[in-house]
Amino acid sequence: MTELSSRQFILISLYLIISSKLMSMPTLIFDYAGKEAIFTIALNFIVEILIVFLVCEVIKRNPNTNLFQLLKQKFSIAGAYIILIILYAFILFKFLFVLQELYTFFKEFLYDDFMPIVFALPMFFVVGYLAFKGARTMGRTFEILFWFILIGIIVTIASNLEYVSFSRLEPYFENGIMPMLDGSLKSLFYFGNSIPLLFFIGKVQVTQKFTTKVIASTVGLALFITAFCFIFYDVYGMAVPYTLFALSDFAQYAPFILDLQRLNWLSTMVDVTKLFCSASIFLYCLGQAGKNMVKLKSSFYPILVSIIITYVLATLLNYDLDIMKHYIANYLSYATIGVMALTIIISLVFSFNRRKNEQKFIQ
Amino acid sequence: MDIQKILQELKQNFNETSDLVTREFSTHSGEKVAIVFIDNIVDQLLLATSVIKPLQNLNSEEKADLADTAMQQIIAFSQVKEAKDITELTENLLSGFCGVIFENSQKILIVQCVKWITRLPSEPPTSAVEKGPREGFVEDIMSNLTLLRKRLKTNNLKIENLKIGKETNTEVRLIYLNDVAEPQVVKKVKEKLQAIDIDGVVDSNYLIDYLQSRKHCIFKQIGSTEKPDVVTAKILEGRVAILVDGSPIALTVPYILLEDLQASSDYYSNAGRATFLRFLRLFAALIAITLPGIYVALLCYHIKAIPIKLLITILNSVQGIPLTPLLEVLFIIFLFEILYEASLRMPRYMGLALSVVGALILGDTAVQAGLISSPAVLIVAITGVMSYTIPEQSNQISFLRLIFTILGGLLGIFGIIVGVVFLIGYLVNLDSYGAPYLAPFAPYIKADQQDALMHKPANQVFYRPKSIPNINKRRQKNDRTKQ
Amino acid sequence: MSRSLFNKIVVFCVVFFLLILAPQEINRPNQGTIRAVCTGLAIDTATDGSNLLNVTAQVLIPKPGGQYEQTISLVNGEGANLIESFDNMRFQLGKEVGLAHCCFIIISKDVSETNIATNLDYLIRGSYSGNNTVLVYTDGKAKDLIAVASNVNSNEVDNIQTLVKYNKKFLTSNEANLKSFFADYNSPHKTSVMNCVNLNKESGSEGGSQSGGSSGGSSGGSSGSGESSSSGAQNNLPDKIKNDGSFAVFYDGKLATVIDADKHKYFNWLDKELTNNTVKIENITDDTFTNATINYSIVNKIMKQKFYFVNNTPCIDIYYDLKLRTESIEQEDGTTYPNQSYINNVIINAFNEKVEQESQQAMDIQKEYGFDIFNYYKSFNTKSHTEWQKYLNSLDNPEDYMKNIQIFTHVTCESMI
Repeated sequence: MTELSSRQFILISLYLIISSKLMSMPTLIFDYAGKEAIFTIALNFIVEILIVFLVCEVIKRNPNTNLFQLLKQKFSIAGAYIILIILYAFILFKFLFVLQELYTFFKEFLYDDFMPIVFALPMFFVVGYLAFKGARTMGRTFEILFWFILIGIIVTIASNLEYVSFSRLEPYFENGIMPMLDGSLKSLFYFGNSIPLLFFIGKVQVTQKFTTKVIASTVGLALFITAFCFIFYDVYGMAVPYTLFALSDFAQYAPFILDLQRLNWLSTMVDVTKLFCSASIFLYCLGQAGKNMVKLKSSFYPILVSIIITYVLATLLNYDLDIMKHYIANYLSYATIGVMALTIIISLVFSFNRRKNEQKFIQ
Repeated sequence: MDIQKILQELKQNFNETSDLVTREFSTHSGEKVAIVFIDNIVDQLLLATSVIKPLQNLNSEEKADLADTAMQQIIAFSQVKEAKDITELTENLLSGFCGVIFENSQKILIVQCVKWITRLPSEPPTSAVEKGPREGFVEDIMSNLTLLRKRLKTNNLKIENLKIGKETNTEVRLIYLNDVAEPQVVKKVKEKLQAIDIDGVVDSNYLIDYLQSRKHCIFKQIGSTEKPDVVTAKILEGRVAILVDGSPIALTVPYILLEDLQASSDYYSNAGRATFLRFLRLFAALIAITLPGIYVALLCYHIKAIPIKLLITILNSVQGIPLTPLLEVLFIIFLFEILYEASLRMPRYMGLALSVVGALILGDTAVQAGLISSPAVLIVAITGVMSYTIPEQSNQISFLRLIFTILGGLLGIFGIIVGVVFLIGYLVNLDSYGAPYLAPFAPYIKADQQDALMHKPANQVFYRPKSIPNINKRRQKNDRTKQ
Repeated sequence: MSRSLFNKIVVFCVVFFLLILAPQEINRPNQGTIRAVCTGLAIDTATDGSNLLNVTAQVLIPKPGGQYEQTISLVNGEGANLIESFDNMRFQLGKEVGLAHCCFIIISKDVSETNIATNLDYLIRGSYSGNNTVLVYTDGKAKDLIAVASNVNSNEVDNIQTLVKYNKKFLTSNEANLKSFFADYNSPHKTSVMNCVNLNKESGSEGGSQSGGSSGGSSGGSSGSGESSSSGAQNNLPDKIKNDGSFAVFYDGKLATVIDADKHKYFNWLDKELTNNTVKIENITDDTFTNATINYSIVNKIMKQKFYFVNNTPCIDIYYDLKLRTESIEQEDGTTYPNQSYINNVIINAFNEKVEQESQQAMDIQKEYGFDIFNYYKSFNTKSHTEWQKYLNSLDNPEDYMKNIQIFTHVTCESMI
């Protein structure tokens, strides 16, 4: 049964893709790639868009089934379990990262003392509620929040536009393309966000030009994020490494804000809401994966277990974003390559087989 | 038929109630007749002139049944029918009918000569309009039906009768347009109403709990209005209206949140102005819900986010206040709520004095005494006023304001975000008879945006809202299709 | 899962959460009671000659009554670095020093002799202060300046920032802030600029003596609260604080030199954005005038630069297209010229000469001290990367790259009525 309209699916993919890309990612990529960071981002987006395209094709060609059924059909039960476990682990880290990023954001920017439990309990409650209620609830919630988030981001970015010179980081590629490629590799984890879209197979009401619409909006968002990063790098120049979260640092920079005094942090708050949204999508996917693996009717217990695992992991990592960044650069980004390759392979298999079936049907 | 026996049985049915009036008399030809009715709900003068006197003058020499003769020739009432048994007679007596029993006939006639005490339709105090119809429903269901019939002169208007309440036997009418309303919705409403097994229905609000799907939800799930023009408009969109005898409030289903954002005056004024007012109402409602919470959050956790000049004023104001910001705002909110409740309950002349005393004297004195700060009073007062830009939702807004204040005080801005996301997540889950609660925003229905926040002029609205289930989409012919 | 179990879990979560949180959070006071709102900082070295930093903070003291009234107090703390200094202040105040509303940071001459980037690092790194906090340099003691700034009658908490911002026609103005300082500091040209604000000599000693021992003491202003200080800030602060338009240049985090107001104008020629200079052309003698002095304001300045190399020497051609408005004409003999504008070849030549001369002087100053305010490093590196690298390699000290750069100016002028 379809739970999402095409529009809601597009929003879900946009929330997933934008997730943490305006927060810690720009600074981190600048650390790895230097002034060429903007090209790293553009390069990684190509991979991201490719995955979105493939997943859209799978969704279009398999309207009446779900991921688990398809996996069982094509890769046998054992294969299906292995793939689901890999996807579960990958998305769990994604969820963990979003959680840590949010916590660090609040702790660094807005609170003097912020107990992790005080953060975690309401956060898990709301995110868990959305994930438990399912794709339909999430899709509708995101539709409402979309305008607020859009306005928040635009206000934040517009406040700094007049300080853009478009040349502060020139010349590019002084040290060849290696920094760019190195940065691309180390930051790939941030660009695997479209992988969870696989869990929406069979849940989307596919309309005309479905893939085109999704890809167009994804490319639009990719351009927007790239443009934001470009502006951010340009405004901050070589002071980028001192920043922690691009969007909030960006929001508080504009010299005229000194007169206005920081009320634009409220617009940043609106932007932070998008992290709630992406966290709920990750948790929903975890719930779906768990539900199918354990063969449960409800996703409540898988969601609860995922929350507990995440909480334990976050506590073990002491909610330290720097440790997480270290793991991302050294392990998770490389693991992302594998998961991306896996996604591409299974997407191709699903699309190809379906096409063959369709042809048979026509004959 | 033994008149005495029947009258005795009736008295027993009515437990020897004192207002059951029986009158026995003879016709000119000597046949005994009895009439029975309940005092005060029957027009006695009319009864005397149109039933008793003609019957007394009757000189029946024919062999025909007296009851038939009376029904066809004597009784000058539009509604005269035959009661099958005592039970039917009893039921009808309760509804203002008068029973006529003939000694020489096996038939009992029931004559409608009801005379309820009712007031004239006047402008409802809760929904006054600047321009537009000023008629409002009254407590009498017949008058209310008249008001609706006057507006919907179509043979497609279907009115179904129901009686609810074992003791009250309240008349309930289900009203809808047969060619527009979704049959599934009508069926579902009817089933829910028929399943009610309550002893009495005093007001239409009694039915709300039976009609709504979520029992413990603070949000309104059934539309209600006192204005016949609003009910007419809603019926035209495919909704089902429910009228309850004794209540001036009509219920409508399905209900979506947007309905309360649309004031009836929007449709009687300029479309641009209506659009502006809708944005204003939405903005005011959002501010009313979140502002006290944001204020407490900013003051307790994030003073760095407050502009410096505003901060100076606020810090000077809260300096020396014995209560913490959260307690202070909660105290003022409770004070305002108590004042509001008391001014509603008190006699009108005292209520006015109380509100003036409450708002001006109490607030000002408390600020002067340094018990509460002026920004907090200002914020609570502003949000109190703002919550009445959508009067139908003011109770919900007040409740949410309290929740968000507590969230802001306990968790800061994070709490506000958590609250907002949860609230939206919760609201999008609500569903009223197939209409998503936040439609046409979630799910986004492009066609319905013409009368959502934006209000298009009537000559540009060609279709009924898709958010409301209906079987006839077209409202008027599109100009382009006409050509 | 049954609905009742779900409801029970929700209720348990909420109750548990409230039990943890409610008792302490209900009694949470407003942050103003635990955090002093600091609106400005002054950084000096310790008076005893040690290497300690002496930091003075301008903090807001809330005054009961609900009026908009600013009561400012100065708090002083010493320490090896900013963190220690703030710790000391915390003991005096009994509160945290909240830097989020800090509008300006004054850096004194003695602090500027060491690398100030190491001191300011604390502020840029965390989110304690906004990274757009204005940086101001002073020749004297920073704490004297901040004391006077806090003491003037019509004080506004952001007075110094307002004063600096007023100087829009100079190249520092509002953009000389923490972020821009660090962005420049980390760039290859390593040059950053700051506004220079000093105490007026006559009243400066007075102000200084008033506030010399004002650490921790209150020196609040009381009136003029609603006044706008954005226009004519110098009128607001008539005698004591002086912003004459001079600016300080920092190279590699250390003070290189202070450029006075007269020379400041030369630098405006080399900046693309600054247009509203007034230019005085003297000794105009032509068919109409004899020894006349004409003041022009530049209404619009279009400046194009061409970077190239001639025999491994970096050269810059600067083309100006100026739209001028005649502001005043003063003749030796007192006769007046009735037309709105006056411009001819003689004046264009004089302009050419003046622009060339002043630009050259600005370049010479940069060459003398070895700093690069306009980031020519990046310009050459972007336009001719290979030749620039070759040029740098040819130098004994690549950091002295400014010394061989040649500039050539070309001016076209038009009158604008």
